Amino acid sequence: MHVGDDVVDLADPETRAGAQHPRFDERVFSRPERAWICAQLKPHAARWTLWAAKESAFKLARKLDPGAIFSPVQLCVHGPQTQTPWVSVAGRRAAVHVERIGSCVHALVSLPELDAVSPLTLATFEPGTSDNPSHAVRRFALGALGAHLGCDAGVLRIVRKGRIPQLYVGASGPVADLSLAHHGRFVSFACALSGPYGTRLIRSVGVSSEHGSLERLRDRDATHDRGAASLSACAALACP
Amino acid sequence: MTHQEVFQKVVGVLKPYVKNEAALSNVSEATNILDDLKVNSARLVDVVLEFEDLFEIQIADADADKVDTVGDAVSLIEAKLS
Repeated sequence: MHVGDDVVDLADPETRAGAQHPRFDERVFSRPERAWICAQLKPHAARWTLWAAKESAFKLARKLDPGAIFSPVQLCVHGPQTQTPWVSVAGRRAAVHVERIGSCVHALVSLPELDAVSPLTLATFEPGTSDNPSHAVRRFALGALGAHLGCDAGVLRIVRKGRIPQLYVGASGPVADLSLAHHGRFVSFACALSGPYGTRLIRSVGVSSEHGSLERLRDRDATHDRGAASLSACAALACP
Repeated sequence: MTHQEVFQKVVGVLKPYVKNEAALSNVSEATNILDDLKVNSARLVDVVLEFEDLFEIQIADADADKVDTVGDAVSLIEAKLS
């Protein structure tokens, strides 16, 4: 199983409405996608929900074809208003799973398609000595995966081949397909385990404890959708 | 436009999107835009669009995808201008 994920912080200044180049939408989104964005009550959230889906799809596409080109307009998200949005990756239909927790949008795309996707979890992690988000997301993923696998995070390693991360346990070869993302206050990972660890997908979003906003983020809106929610539902949430 | 002028303009376009100021202060043609300057992929779209406006060129996604370093961007723009 291969996975791609992405996270967007809607409260980050660089995602605010008007912060993009005037031709950003035209460059990134297909005509139907632009029409869908404009039709949403919160086009700002809709734009970045679609972006997260496209970025996730591209991460997956590059795992299946290392020569895949990042052309977001080609990674068209179909049916964003439905409960089963999907994107074509390497000629195959891949379901898009989006969740939103407050200002955090998380997207997940996998192949083969999953029967069910566990709800997104949100956790805090201790800030390290480095403020490098690439280091932070690795630290967060290793800690969370160590807990899931019942082993010390110290025996886990994330090795990047090209731009593609893989999870190693001890001296063994790669045991899981991994996707890492970070934006604004958030880091995230998705990990497709197989073999001796069972076939399952783990995903989580982390926020550094220095932000101290976990409780507020956990106060999920009543309209929050889980799993393969429609992108419309995610985009329509009240916050921010 | 000289090679150095293109380089300076490229750095000028990148500057507002750079998260790693230290890397920017030592920027060279070998500097990686994503890994060193920490420009994220969404802002890279803005950067490409600004290159198009500033240099009056068009950059296809396939060309943009090949740009890893500042030097790659300079070479791509020079090729489009020639």
